[in-house]
Amino acid sequence: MGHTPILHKVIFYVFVAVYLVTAPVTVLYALGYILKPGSERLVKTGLISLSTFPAGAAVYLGKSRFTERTPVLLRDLLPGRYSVQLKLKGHENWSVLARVRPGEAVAFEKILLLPNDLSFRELSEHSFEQIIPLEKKDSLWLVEDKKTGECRLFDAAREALGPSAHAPAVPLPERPAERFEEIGRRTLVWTKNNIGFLRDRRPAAGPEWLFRGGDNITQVFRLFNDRYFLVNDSARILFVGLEIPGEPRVRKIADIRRGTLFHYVPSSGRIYYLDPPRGRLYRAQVLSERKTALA
Amino acid sequence: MNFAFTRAGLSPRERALERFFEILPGAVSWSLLAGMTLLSFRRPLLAAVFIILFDLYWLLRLFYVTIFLVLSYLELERRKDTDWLGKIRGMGAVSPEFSELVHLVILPIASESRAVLEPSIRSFASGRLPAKQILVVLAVEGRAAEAIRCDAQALAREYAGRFLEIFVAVHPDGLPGEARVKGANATFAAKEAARYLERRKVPFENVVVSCFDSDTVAGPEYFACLSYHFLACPDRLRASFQPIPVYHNNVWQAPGYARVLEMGSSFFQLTEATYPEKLVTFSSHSMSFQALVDVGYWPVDIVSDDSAIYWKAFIHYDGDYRVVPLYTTLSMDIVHTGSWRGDLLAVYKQKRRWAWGVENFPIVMRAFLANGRIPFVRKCAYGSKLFEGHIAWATWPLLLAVIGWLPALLAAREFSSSVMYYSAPRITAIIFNIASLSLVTTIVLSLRLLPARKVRNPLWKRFGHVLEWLCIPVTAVLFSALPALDSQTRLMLGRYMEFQATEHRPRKRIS
Repeated sequence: MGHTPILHKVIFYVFVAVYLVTAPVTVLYALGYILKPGSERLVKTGLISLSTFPAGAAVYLGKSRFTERTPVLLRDLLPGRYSVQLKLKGHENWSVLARVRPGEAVAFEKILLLPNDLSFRELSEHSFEQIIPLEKKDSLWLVEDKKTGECRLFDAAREALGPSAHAPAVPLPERPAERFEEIGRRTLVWTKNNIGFLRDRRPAAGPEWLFRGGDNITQVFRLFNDRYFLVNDSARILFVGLEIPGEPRVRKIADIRRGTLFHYVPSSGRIYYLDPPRGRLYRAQVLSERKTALA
Repeated sequence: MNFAFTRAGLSPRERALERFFEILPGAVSWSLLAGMTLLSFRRPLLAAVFIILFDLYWLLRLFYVTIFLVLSYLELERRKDTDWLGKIRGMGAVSPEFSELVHLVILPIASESRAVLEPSIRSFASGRLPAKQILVVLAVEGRAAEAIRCDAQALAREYAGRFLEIFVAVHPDGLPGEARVKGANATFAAKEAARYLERRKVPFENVVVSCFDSDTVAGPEYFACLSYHFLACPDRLRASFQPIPVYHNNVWQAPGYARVLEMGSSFFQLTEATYPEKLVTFSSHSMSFQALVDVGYWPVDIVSDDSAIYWKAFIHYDGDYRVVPLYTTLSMDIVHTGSWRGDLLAVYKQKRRWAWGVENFPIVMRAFLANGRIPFVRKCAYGSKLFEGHIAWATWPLLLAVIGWLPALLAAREFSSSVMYYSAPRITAIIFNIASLSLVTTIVLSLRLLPARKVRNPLWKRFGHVLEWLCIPVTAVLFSALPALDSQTRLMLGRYMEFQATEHRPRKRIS
């Protein structure tokens, strides 16, 4: 292979040239720089990252629809404000006015899209006075008569109602069972009106309230991750989404019988509650039944 | 230039210089790895920029190497069926004449049994080159077990009539100035051979010496090919002859990761062969016996004798020494002990020993600084290649497979809200996807380079071999980067290694 030293040199210099061109271009692109269309001037862009549960939502930026569906990265966005809308068939739309800054990314990750139809279903013709969830189980006591303590056990996994019985020393809650919940290294805290987290570094400064719109919060369930909650507030079940700082997304899921609790089963994405006029057991499908690791 | 190619008996100034260059590779490798890790924590944006620049550089290097790997493989294929003896006859009058040429083959033996040695000796005897032109020296370590020495003696007796001569040279243990290294054994054997050649009045210029690993099996054309290149080489006393090492002897018995690693070694040598200007001897190779004598034989206190002899000659001849690539193969064993734990350990130790070739760097650099006759540019080119090669060996797999992902994994809030946080992993993924073209090429060549011998379930075995290549990121970290880092750290701390012979398991005969 007598020709190879020359070939080595030729290819070497070609590759050096390729590197000298591609390396700065790639780094600039990675930092967000693009040639501004029309002006041929380098501008630093930003991006918006979107992912939803369930995935596959159509993405609209202003009036333009993107070909890709969530999860998606909207790259090369010139600095400014953008109206972003997500649409998924059978689910409520989601929108935000996102501010894109040069070199920065705005992330809306794992946005929960609630189904339009929550599949409400009456599960029992009996009337009940209270629901008492069994901790860490997909079962609950349905109190038929508070005075006599007569209850029926409801198996949420099979959605089957057991026979009448006396609940074995189940205390009827008079007040919220928990106001604090450890979530990893964070502590969720909620009061009559607010939901928030204790500040890690400055606990003395008090909680950082993320939701302040409650009237009389008696129960809080996390839906998934730390930004979605189901709240029992003044005889209503509210969905509270905190994915946009300072702008809680609140939707009423259902009215429930005053003074009663409800129960949320994470594995199925269903809630169980007593309807206001008759006290019958109802179920609603809050999370999409499409299976996901996020549930 | 007369230069003591040893780290013994140095003046305080030389010793200080040598220590500096001993520390340098390890220090740079560790600094790179630790620096990038630290940067990933403290300045992830900057770390991500460096990673992208490095990944791009690596991608281009990979393609550069792949191009020459393919060219080299095609050359190997083209020359596969060459009638080397015919070509020698077609050369006309040469000096020395082909019939006067003698091949001295030295087989250093420490713990290798007859089962390992005999296939090698048989292959020398059954080649196309008349075996009567081959002198075989079985260089047995004095500290070797009695059974090993008996095996060597028995083989010498059995093959006595086949070669010009075959004899056993027992290297006494602990000679002054020697370390327990293969080079000391080979040097002792070469001196014994020199006495034999002098008695037979064979000029050293007519002798080609091949120092082979004891498991080296030569193909039928090997010595004819070597003879042709030796005779055709215009300045043959200033050249070494480097074949392509392949590891086919026990290729289907060895563990998959070791098979991939050794295939990688073959490919590395194939690629290097395309650039003889910077080629350095590796493993089994050959050179003029006269040159070997002139440079003072192999270093007797250096583990990596295969590359050290090249540097020794390069310095001795003031840079007027080169390596001629031979587009023919020599087959050796892949490390295989019979147990998976033993294999893991033996492969690691073998790679660490290979990486211990970094010990040449301080000696070569000391020689370069002392030698004013080697052109400065050449010294820079060789020194930087040697240095960069060892740094890349120890750091690249770790940078690519582990550290390169740290900025994204350890991202603090500030970095995770930057465009770079989202761009870097995507760009890296694109680079890796493009790099897979090179991997596919490598796998195809790997399948083509595998021996054509029949094995059981050949399709499954080959399919399995393809999957083995997909594990290369893990294999490269465990059996390339870590052993190299281990070697460089040992050298940096002054904990010098001694030669540890690779354990061989008797090969199965495959019908």
